[in-house]
Amino acid sequence: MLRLATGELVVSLTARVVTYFRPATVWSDPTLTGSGAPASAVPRDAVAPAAAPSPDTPGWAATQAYWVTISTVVHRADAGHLVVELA
Amino acid sequence: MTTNSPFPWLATADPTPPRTAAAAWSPPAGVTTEQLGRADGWQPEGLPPGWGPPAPARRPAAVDDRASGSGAVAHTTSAGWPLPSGALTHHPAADPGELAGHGVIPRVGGRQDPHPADDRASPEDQRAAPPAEPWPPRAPAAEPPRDPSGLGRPAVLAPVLRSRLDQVESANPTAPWWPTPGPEGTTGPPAPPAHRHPAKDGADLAASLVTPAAGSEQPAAAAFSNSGHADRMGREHGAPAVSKTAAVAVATRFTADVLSWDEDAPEVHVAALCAYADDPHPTTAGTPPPRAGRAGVANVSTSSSRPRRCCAWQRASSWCH
Repeated sequence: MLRLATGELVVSLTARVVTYFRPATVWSDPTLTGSGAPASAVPRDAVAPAAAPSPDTPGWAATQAYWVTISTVVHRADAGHLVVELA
Repeated sequence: MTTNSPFPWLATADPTPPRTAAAAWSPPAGVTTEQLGRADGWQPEGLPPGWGPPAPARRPAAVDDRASGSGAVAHTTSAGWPLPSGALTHHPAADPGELAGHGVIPRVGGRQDPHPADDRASPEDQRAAPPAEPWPPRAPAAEPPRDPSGLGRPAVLAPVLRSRLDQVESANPTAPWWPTPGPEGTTGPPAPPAHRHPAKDGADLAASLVTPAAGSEQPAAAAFSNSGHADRMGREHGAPAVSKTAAVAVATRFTADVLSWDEDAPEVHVAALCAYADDPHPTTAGTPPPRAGRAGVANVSTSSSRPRRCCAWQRASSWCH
């Protein structure tokens, strides 16, 4: 954590990121095929990895986790609340 | 001889057995009455563990006049059984106060010693008369704190350190004060300033100032040592400083949102991230303009004519147009 002379704080956080994906090559996903329609095969590449497994469809698996360090600059706005400097 | 004693074998005229080590036990200094074991309330048919039937003795009662505790208290060792460690003197039923038989209380210089009122192992209602000598009264406040665990040792409580504002101010009139960060999302005026410990925060802040700010000619350490809180209050921005705890909380949530996404609704993710840089409760007239020199933040006009700040990556999305 670094406090700048301007009163801002630079907070460096290291987060553990776990990405979820569908390991099966093909699967039947009613959300993609549509309700009422017959289930069809959905290729694996049709669905991008997600930050969390789907609560509706099974078959999600976690990939190998990795660590990410993100430095965030936080300062107090004129109104009194805290804001994050977005670059 | 008849008696109503719960220990009928005590009402015998047999001589007392030789005293045991348990009877000679003396409490350590500072042990209160409640911390000592008592023989009261024991059922006659249920002897305490370790107690045996009265053993026949071959000699009369002996008197233990050794000092115990804070005062010279004589202990009778006339009980017909091994005394428990807590029973220092006599049992009401076992020690009738007679000079003969069981429960002999010696008299030293015309004074019954120990006096019934001085019996530390006796209950409070047993004190029938005040002590013959002006013993120093027991000050309740001076008594050591009792051990809540009941293990018999005095409990020592650590001193309570209370931060008093008047002491802080008197110790260091120039102690810096920092505004207490209000809850997130509040648009009201900032909370009144809260005093912080000058020594701790001074070292903490000095340790946190490592490098000067980008674009600032004055080093951060020099700004801190300038003895004025205006530098730390962000004079350039006119905004108060940020506490570390609040900054970590915001940064943690922001990091979690950065690392999370919804592939089905990417605009939600972008809007969620940009919300960290915007006023959570903006007003049309009171929304401050964006500060100059902040890259990646731009003003756009929406249908409600309220300026909205979009992120750099948000401009490419349809939500920001």
